[in-house]
Amino acid sequence: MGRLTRLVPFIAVGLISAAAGWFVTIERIPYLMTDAVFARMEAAGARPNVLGKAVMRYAKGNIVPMANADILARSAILDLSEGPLQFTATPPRELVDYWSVSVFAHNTDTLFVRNDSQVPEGKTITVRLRLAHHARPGPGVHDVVLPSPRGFLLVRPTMPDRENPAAVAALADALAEHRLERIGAQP
Amino acid sequence: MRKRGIWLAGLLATALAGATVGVGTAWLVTGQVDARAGRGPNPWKTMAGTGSAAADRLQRAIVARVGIWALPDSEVIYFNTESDSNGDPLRAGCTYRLEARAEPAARWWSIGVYRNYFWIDNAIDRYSLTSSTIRRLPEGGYTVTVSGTPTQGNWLPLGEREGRITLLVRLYQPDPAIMANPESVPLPTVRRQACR
Repeated sequence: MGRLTRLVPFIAVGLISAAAGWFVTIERIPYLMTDAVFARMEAAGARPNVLGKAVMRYAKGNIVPMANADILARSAILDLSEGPLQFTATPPRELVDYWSVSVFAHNTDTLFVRNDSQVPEGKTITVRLRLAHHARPGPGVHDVVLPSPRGFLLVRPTMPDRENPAAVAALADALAEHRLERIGAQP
Repeated sequence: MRKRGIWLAGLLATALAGATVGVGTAWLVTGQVDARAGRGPNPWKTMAGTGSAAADRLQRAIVARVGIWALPDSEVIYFNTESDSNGDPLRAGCTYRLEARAEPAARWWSIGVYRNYFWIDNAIDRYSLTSSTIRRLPEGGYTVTVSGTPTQGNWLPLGEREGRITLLVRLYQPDPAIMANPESVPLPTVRRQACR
């Protein structure tokens, strides 16, 4: 009985430490994975606040787990520490079966998503990406407030057929019109 | 005094060991897409709340590990399986026949195959088939051959290297009723035909 009593603090400390390790890891994983993928993207040439080009991606060089092979993605690592950004695009509805723009927080929370069917045909969607202390945008602009400077913007246009180079090239040309720009300097 | 020091050192070692077990278990569990129970027609399953900021912490960690930047159910529903319709794990050395008699109610859908959650390198750079590219049967529905050996028709290259094989169906702009009854979605059966 005495020996068992002496073991109680060890069992309690072991269980509490295991639980703490579990919960801290679960909480931190979304941040860690975001940073890990950002590091791989930057190693492959991506730069913060620059919308990457719409290029076909292949297994060699695939850096995002469970990526969709049928979207001609454009994406940007966001860093709002130097001020807000604004994304503008006209969804190329005639060239895609689906198009959307989504914004994710550093912890992978989905902050915003709009697809082409939610944008009037031929119209432009404008999305302001800002921190809480940055100025609000005017009417007609979607307002996305990130909880911290780091985040991710992802445009997902489906390719009609990734094995049809002409169709993919036409879609890439249309996507080249998408813009991500800094709005003034409001650190 | 010395006895007390040994006791404290033992307590510290226990705390470190406990924390290591907690961290390691969390890392192992979140590295598997099938770590949590889901719902769907055999053998497929989907986890409600995927891609949502409202999902619990464990689910968000799993999605961050094996499907980062997933979209919420209202936009995309993801069904995955790592086993065939008999419950046996998918293997790179085998050939599988996927057979569906109907298509899911969604604006656009795709079926992809992954090894260790990444695309499988192959000679024709094909990693998925979509509602835009798949060849349908005259009577409706479709079949897909998932194999390391090229085949005519709807072929999804499986490669030769072993690893964790995952099939993933994406339903873009799905019928909102799907999440209430995901078992009713007409997804293909997955039958093993032959193995090396």
